[in-house]
Amino acid sequence: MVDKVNEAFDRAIRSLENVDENKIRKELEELILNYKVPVDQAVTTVVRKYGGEFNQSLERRKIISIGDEERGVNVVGRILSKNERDIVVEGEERKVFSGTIADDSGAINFTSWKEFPFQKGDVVKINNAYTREWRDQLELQIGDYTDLQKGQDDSVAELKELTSPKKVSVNDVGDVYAAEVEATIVDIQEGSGLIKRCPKCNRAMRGEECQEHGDVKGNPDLRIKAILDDGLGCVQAIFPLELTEDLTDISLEDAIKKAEDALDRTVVEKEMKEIIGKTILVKGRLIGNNFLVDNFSNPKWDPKEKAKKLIEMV
Amino acid sequence: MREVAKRVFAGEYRESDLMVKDGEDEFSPSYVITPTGERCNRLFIVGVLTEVQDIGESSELYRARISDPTGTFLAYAGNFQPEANRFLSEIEPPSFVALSGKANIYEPDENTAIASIRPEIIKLSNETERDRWIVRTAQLTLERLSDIDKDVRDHYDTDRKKYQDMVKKALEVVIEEVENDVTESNKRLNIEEGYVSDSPSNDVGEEDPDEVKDDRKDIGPKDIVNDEDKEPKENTEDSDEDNKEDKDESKEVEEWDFSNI
Repeated sequence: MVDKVNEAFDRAIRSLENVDENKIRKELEELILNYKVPVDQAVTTVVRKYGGEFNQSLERRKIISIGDEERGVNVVGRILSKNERDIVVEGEERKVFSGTIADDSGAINFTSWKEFPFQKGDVVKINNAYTREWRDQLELQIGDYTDLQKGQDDSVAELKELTSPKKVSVNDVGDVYAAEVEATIVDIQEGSGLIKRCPKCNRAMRGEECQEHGDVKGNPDLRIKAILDDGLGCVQAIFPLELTEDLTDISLEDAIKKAEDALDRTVVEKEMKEIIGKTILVKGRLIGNNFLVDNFSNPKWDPKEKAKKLIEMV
Repeated sequence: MREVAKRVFAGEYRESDLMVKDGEDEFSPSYVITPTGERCNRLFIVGVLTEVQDIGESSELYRARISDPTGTFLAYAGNFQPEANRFLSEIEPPSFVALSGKANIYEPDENTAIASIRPEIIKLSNETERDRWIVRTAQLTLERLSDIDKDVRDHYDTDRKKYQDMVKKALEVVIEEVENDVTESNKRLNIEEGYVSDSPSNDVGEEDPDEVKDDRKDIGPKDIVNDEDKEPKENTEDSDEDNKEDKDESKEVEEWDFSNI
């Protein structure tokens, strides 16, 4: 809580001139500690009260500190990915850009409703953007009033550094571009095991039908939708074919045979449940609500060594 | 949002007698609040399944005891937990198991509250996973001990020292076991020669962390022999509980507004 006051104080003071700093701190303390007003609102309230111009250009935010429903957000970050698509708004075709931008503190997805003339790897200075949540994930919105400029290349870490997986707890996988987490598989969800994919769109089919393309001859595939849980948070993780084979010791061939023998595809999913209870180290990315696993390994630590260290701390 | 599976030692969980509900309606989730302030709707444990008993009258209701170094968890699986039910009907204790399930408190009479688990899934596990669970649970318990909510302290009068000792005891089991396993033969030789400890051969086990391999099939009686003396003493709660008819429904013991925890 005290950290929050400090953060708010730093931000408020940058937008104010000739003020009693103690007074500002006291007022922020009251708003944040006693009334539990969110930091952003506390800062704006105090700045407005003391006649400060809420000086947006001064305030560069760390991406990790950005919250939901904020306005006037300024960041400098490197573009990690960029896509574009066409949408129709009120009968008019528009281009929408989306992707991920990161600074040294973390990463955030963005959507740009205006021309976005930057490429993957570019450093961009974004002023006066806003945020909102989209499918449970925070997004930086770039609108008509947002100012975009090319930023200084050395002001943000290199692409390779930014995209390398960061060690986090399960709760924080959404705050980084790529994450490394250690967690236990506590459940295997329906839709795991042997599935069929539509040959046209590659989406998993329900039974013998693709939701989009109807009755098609599906291609067999293996996957696991596992709940990874570290005691502090949990997330649904998707293991693609090869990783599923490694993790379960069941190859696609084996799986097809097992299903044929049993005349039932779900026997594979049932058998895969034997991995429940296993603790693994995974690297991957959170896309929407799913953590897409790139690779996994056994945890690196030795329980005995760690137990000794912990005992010394008690 | 799925509920996180909390990690709590049996010795702490069994002392819990406080249950809160997050909201008013029938489907609002409920939580067992433990003495260090963990809020458990779901639990994940890895321990030794020591006993399974069918205590149901008209239909199957299994009661399982799962032991960790600090005590025993009680798990009840009836018809509404078909997967766990099937597992328990086939398993022969003792064996290492991993379990996730819903936290619950029974109140067979006014003076008794029994914290139990309704298992969702039970699977065979192994010694390595059990050791990892102990270490992780120790870590999280210590973190909770450093900052216990005031309402929780008021209710339980939580004795920090007691739970620190509990954590220590659990961790010691992890440390001892590996030494026993790896140096068993060396020790035997040393005993014959008249000394046990301080022998250089006792350090063999520390050389190679890869020694601790994941191997689910390697589950046998030899792995749990040491657990005999770790078994918690049976207390009166248990005999009470044997007499009563275990129903798969809980009575809430107390309802407090703990929404700020």
